[in-house]
Parts: sequence; structure tokens; C-alpha cells
Amino acid sequence: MGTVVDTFIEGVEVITWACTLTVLVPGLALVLVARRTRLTVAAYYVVGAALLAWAQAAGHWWVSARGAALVIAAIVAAGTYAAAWLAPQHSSPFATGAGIVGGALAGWLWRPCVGSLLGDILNDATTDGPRTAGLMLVYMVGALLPVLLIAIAPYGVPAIGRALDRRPVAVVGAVVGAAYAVTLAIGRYDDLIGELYRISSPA
Amino acid sequence: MKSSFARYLALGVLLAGVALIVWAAVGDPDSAPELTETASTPIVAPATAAEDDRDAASPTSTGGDAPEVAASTTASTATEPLEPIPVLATAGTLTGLDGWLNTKATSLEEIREANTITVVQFWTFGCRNCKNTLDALGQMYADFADRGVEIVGVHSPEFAYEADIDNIIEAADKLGVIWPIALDTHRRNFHRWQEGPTGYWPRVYVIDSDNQIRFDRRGDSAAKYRELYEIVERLLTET
Repeated sequence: MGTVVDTFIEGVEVITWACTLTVLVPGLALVLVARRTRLTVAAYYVVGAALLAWAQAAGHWWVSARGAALVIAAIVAAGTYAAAWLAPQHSSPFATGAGIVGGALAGWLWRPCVGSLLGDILNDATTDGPRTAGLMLVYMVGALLPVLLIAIAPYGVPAIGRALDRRPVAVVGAVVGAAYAVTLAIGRYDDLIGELYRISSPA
Repeated sequence: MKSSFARYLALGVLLAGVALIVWAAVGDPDSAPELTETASTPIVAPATAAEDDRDAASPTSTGGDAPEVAASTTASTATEPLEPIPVLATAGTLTGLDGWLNTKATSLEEIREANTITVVQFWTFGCRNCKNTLDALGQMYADFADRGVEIVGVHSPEFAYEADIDNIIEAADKLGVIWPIALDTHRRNFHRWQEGPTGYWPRVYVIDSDNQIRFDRRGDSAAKYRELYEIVERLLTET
């Protein structure tokens, strides 16, 4: 139990780190776009990101994020935002698909700075699949906590829900999503995140 | 009643989550995570430390027999003979570099020929987990540099600002990185050395005198870096 809690905390601690922003920013944007299905999209986004990150470490996923694969990734990314926008209700396959595919895409692109417990997960992934997959999910719940909180917030504070439901908020998410897809296609997504991080970080 | 309960539950989760994020963010942002022991912890007693790491020690993805490493390090406090340190793979070379810092050498081979053990770490100065390991590496360098151990920090930047040579020099100076730095600006070696479609910072390898990888770990765990220290020490006595 201690390992689970510590893994979750280690995930929370890296939320503001540049390495994590590459997986966090697309998730935040996706949840803003998914006005009617935020919780479903957020939950599946976390699952998708954890699954792909773990699959890469365990050797079950071998596609590199380079060249033509990035162009395809950009198209898929754009598709996830469109699906999230269109999803009418939580049970819609658009919501589930947008979340899991969007998350998987982010997990695939994520090159983490590895802390103590994430290091253990990655080092053990090939030999201890179920345990490390579970811990990776726990880590991602921590690292992507803002995504989940934005999805949960309207249930606790209806005023936040009304604010998030406004079309301009969704448009902001869509613009970030479009920037994500475009920078992916031209291979500059990391640079964009790095520059944002550098600008926002104290000297 | 039910919806009221759900609302309070959501509110509770929201407040707890926000509090947790604030707590994590306002904690010393430049230091190592508090709840997980990191490699900046001073190396005091490798053998005892290895015992602490009994549960955490794990096989690497490049070799399935790494538990023997853990078993051998744990056993070092007893009188039983130590199990051999497994050979994980043959080390590659570093190619397509953009230069070197802190050394006159121009290749990994040159460094290997001049030393018995070479420790290769993939890092980037903007990565906090990498910074967490530098004290441990510095300690090892101080203890073993004159016994034929060289550290090569392969600087593989994640972001554009980390690729700027002036920034690297300034960061290395500030962080006390006095060992050779190989500039892997385009991450060619970062990807070639790490199996699979992605790579991780930090990742450290120990290469013996026969160019065999004898240690391979991702992450900044202090226990792992104590294990690294011990492996290097053992390899020195073996050669």
C-alpha cells in the first residue's frame, strides 16, 4: 500500500515539470473540448496514457515517434479532439475513444524524467507486467491529476461546470488541440513545450 | 440525497486534489522529491544500503538475470561468496556527437582505453531527476577517478534550450559536473542505446574493461546509485 501511495505522490510531484507537460497539456485541452463527457474522457485519457507508457517500457510497443508516424499521430490527435467535441453523452463511443486514443497518443510521445519509483516501474516492466502496469496507472493518476480534477469539479461546484460549459472555453481547448496536432506534424511539439516551460519558469 | 452525496464527494476529491497539487508545487521546487529517497543522499555504507534496497532491486529490461545483482549486493554483508555480476549486453559506441566538454578525448573508445571502468549516464541539465543523481556520481568520481573509473555524461537534451552549448557549459559549471560530457544534441545515441521506441532520463550504464555492460538502471533512486557505487567497486577489485 505504501508503494501505491508513494507512486501516486511521485506522480503529483512532477505535475509542473516540463517532462510531464508533454502529456498533461493535451489532456487538459481534451477535457476542455469534451463539454458533455469530461469525466469519461479524462478517465480514459489517464488509462490510455498509462497503458502506452507501460507498453513501451515492457517492450510491447515498438513504433517510434518519428517521421511519417508523427504525421499520422497528428491526424489521430486532431481526430480525438473532434470526437471529444462531438461526443453527446458519457456512454458515447466518441467519448471513450477520444479519451483512450488521446491518452495513448500522449503516453506514446511522453519521454519522462524518471524518479525513484517510476524508475522501479520501468526497470521491472518486462518481468513483472501486472504489478508495474497497475503502478504505472497509479503514477499517471497522480501526474494527470489536474485533468481528472477539471472533470470532477463541475460535480462538486456547479458554478465551475457552468463556466466550463461556455463555448469559448471549449474553443480554447480546441485551439490548443490544433496547435498540438500541427506541432506534432512538423516535429516541433517538444520545442513548443520546452519554450513554454522556459518562459513560465523562474530564471 | 444521492446527488447531494455525490456532490460532496466530488467537492471533497476536488479540494483534496487541489491541496495536494499546491503542496507538491510549493514544496522546494528545485530539490529532490521529499517522499521518495533520491540519489543525492550521501553514500555512506553501500553494503547496508543494498539491504534496504532488497525489495526495490529489479531486473532490467536488457537482461533477465539482474536479481543476481541484488542478491550479490545483499550478500555482501555476510561471509558467503558474492555471486558474479551478470553481463547484460555488449556496450555500443557514441557516434554523431556534437563534441565533448571537460576532456581532451574525442571518443568513448579513447576514454575506455584509458580507464578500467566507464560509467555512462544519459542526462540533460533541465531534468530534475538527473540533477538528483549528480551528488552520487560526484562522490563516486571523487572516490574512484584515480583508480581507473571514468564517468561520461551523455548530454541528450529534451528541449531546445537544453541544446544550447552555452547553457550546457553554464549548467555543468553550476551543477559541479566535472567529468567528461559528450554532446548528443540530436539524441542519436540516447535513442540508439535505449531499447524500444522511447528513452528515459536519467539512465546509467557501467561498462567493464571488456566493453560489457554490467549495470543498467533508469531513474534517480538513491538505492540504485548506491548499488552502482558498489558494482563499480566490485568490478575494480575483480580487474
